[in-house]
Amino acid sequence: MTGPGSLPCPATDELRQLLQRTLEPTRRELLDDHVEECGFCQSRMDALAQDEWQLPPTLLLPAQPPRQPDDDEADFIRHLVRSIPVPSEPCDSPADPVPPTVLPCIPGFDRLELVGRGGSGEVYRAWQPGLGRWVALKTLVPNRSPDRAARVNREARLLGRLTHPHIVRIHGMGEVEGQPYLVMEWIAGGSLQDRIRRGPLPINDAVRFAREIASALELVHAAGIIHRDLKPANVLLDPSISGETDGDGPLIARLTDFSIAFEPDANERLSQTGMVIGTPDYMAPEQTGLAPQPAAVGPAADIYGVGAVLYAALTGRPPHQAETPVAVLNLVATREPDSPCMYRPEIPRDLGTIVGKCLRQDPAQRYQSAGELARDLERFLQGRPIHARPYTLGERIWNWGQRRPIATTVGACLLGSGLYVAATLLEQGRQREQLVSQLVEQTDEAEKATAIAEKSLAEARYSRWQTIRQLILKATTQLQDGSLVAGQRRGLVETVRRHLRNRLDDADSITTGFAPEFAEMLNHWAELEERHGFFPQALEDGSRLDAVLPKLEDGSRRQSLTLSRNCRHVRLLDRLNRLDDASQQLAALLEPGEAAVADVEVLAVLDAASQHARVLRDAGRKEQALALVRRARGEWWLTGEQSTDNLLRSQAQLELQLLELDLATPLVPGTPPSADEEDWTKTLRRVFDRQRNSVLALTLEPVRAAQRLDELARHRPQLAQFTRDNWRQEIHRLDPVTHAAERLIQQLSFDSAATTDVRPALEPVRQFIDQHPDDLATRQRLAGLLVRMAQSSATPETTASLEQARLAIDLVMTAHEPWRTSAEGRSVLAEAYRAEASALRSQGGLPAARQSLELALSHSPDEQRGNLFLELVQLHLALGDRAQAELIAARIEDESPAREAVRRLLRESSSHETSSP
Amino acid sequence: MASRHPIEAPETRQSLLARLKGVSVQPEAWQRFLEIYTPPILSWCRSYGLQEADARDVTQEVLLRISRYLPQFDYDPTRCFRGWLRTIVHRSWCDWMECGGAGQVGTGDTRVLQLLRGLPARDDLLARLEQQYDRELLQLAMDRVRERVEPQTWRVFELLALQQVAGIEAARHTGMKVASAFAARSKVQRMVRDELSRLRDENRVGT
Repeated sequence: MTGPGSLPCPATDELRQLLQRTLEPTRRELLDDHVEECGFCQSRMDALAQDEWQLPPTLLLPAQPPRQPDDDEADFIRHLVRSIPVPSEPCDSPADPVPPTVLPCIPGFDRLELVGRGGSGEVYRAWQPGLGRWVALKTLVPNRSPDRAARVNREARLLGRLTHPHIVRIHGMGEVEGQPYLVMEWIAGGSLQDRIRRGPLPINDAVRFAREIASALELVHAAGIIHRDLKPANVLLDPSISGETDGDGPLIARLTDFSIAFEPDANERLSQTGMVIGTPDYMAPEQTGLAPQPAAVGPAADIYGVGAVLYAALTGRPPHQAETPVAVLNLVATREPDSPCMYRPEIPRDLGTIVGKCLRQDPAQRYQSAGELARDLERFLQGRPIHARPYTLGERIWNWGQRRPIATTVGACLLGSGLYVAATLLEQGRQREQLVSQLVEQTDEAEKATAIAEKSLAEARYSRWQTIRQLILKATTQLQDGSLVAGQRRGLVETVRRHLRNRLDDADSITTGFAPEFAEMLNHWAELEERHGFFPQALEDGSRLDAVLPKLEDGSRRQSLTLSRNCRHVRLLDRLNRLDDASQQLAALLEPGEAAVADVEVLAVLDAASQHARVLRDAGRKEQALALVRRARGEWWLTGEQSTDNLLRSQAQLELQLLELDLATPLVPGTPPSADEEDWTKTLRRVFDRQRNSVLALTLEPVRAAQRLDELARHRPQLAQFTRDNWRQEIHRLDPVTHAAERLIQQLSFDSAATTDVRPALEPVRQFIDQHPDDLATRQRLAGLLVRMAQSSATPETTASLEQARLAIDLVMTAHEPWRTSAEGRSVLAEAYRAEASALRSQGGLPAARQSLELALSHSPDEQRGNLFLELVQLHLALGDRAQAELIAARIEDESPAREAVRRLLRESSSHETSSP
Repeated sequence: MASRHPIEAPETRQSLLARLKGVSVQPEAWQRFLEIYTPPILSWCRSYGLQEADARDVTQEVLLRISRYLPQFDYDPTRCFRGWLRTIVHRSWCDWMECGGAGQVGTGDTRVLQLLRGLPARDDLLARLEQQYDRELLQLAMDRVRERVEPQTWRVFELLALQQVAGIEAARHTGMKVASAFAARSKVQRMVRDELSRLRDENRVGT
């Protein structure tokens, strides 16, 4: 067999021919052998093959069959098959909706035509012969609550009070068959939403519409009303003043749909909790109900709405976009949108500033009145400087400079040398910058130069930041695709960390401008390190966040990042076995903060508390664990009415309760049930009842739960509202797999101890895994068990250990992403390969064992590599291949304790050689 | 189960939607359609935060409309198949949305239902179903190719292309040389791609 050194690596073309099997046989055989040993060519061939596979990434699924529907879903599907008839003949009139609607017969109007349905009601176009005009009729959706009638009344009343060229007028209202309806102006031009669908609007048109709506809002707010549902669909475009359908006049914007408007001061019975129904795309943060700092819904929400509508008109997209509406809601509630200039570069900066000021998270920072907004928009249309202030002084002057190009050029000439100085001194730090400023202050155009210098400096910093960002993104991909070996991963992580350290040394230069992005990226990086097993590094890098967080102006983002970091640190400290530090960190997390905490944050903290309590319990510190659990349960955001309604919070509560029950002193039969136990039973029942149809997974530890329930049922007959069997059944139903798995594992340990031919014993394992491919926890346990068994039973006589090791390898190889390529999965795989190597060695198959060890090395986490190297060296020496042994010894990292052992081994073996006759 | 239809061999099996194009539809095809396309619609509902019972109601309503509209829309062979799918889904969704079908949902969170009636939700639904269709087509192509190659060859392709396993591991696992493993992958890939484009053509022209 030729080594990689003897035959040179082939050119890419030849390699491709090898791949496609179009080479002539002798050459092919030679190259095949070369590739067998040459890692470089292997990766090249891999890349070539990968390139040929040109499917879109969304179709590149891991090799798993579509998820099998669970029993409940299968039942549901059967039900569907029974109840939905097989598609056959077409309906009679395809245009009829199902069920067919009966057009209302409203006296005084005819030729009704349905033009739209929204959440509030149906809208028809109708002809009013009495007055010879088209009108819009708005009715209720049938089957709504009687509340709605009151709402229609209110909408009519509100609209009646508002007469404005930019608000759709109401002509009147009436009632037919007990259902109220509104009669409004008919607007022929369609909605702004329809127009946006065809593409972004010309800038001036968009701004003009926005100004018109803002001026309409001035009146609305003055009347004490808040619209609450600003969106492009509610801005109609009127082709002419007279409302004729053939008008050719310029379009004017008209605001409509006041169905969810509300008057803060009026004495209303209707629900006005501020939880607004609507599409989240244009909602103000305070309307979502998810904002970390809840604010009242006031006129500022409408200002936001205008900003969002303008944004959409300019860019063709709403301020926030995400894959699901829930994600959009979250974004709206927690982030400020990107500047519209990013999506459409020709948008002037001033306009971006205006839009930005409408879309601030904090209502107090937006325009404080619709009138103010309308006036700034007017200023923009006329080319005058606007009043809204962007972030830096420098930018504003730059803008001014842009509008007066001649003045700037003159200034630039005057400052020719000043500019030059500014530019070169950029590289040399802040002190020099101050000097430049002083120099430059001597002329009239002083400020302009500073602005230029500042801008360039800002750009330089920003581009440095972009480099790091790219680096981190790239590192993320590489780490996640699982193709790197341990040493490479470490190297990659170290490189990124070095760059981060350098950047953070110059912490002052992280301006408030991109501090949020930077903080997010750093947090993401620390998460990634955690996921890939670099625990001390993740801890360190997470701590570096402390330098950046204070620069975040957005309090809610700061809070959520801080929380993420702190929860992660608890986990990391647990992993590094620094349990006391973890407890301390967690105690800090459990302190109630001043600001209101979002659901998702509460759950993160509770989750951290549960996990840490389990770690403490498993480490034998039961008292501590119990105290922690009790504390977590007692915190204010767990108790109270609110918590029991929220299913997720109930689950979290239940987990903690279970833990508590597990840790508390054992039940003494004959004593009355404690308050805790009663409480627990009630919660359990409530959660089970609600869970009956849900597919939310309970992360209970079912086996322990079942055991505890058994105990309870035995000793506390008074509590048994369900019988013992019912409870067990519920748990079985929720997690039947775990019981099967437990049984299997026990059986396996028992069986294998007894026999020499393990294959029959291993068969049930294969079956179980085939039936439950998604059960990663059991898979991991089984693989671990098999590896241990293989290690203890390696003898030359039987192939038992080989079978076991191979099955373990199979278990991991057939597992799904991302576990298979995660740190855990790979470490199990490494162990399994190692066990396979031992088995092979004991059977005399040394070369194959060598390959297994190499594979083990490629998957192994750092801490175990030392031992693997040692084994490999031993193997090579046993094979008589000293050269290879030395090569391997050279690969061992310096700090590894194995290095010494290996050196010694080599010395011993060489002395053995020279001393033999 | 999903990858091997018990009754028909992959060679003769058409994609489900293809079989549903005509005016009269086989009951087994419809059942299969429900099995495959119900889960994405359920996830769509769930992803908007609907509780399970309500998600099922909405799913049922949407599927009901789909079943009604399927035969109505004659398949136009000059248009892309995907366009036909979009039309069906769009009409069904519009119908569901307009008819206040959502109004009958008992405990439905009104806010969530409002979201589901938004255009982004419709596009989301369309995207999920299209993706399901793409997957189905890919799976069909792969099934067909799998029938035609050695089990060993297929396994190596699976390991390399689908599971992203390293070359040397896959080779060991299947007892091949590394270069042969890559070559096998390459061959199967080409076959799958060819099969896929053949399937797409079939669906374009109409049967």
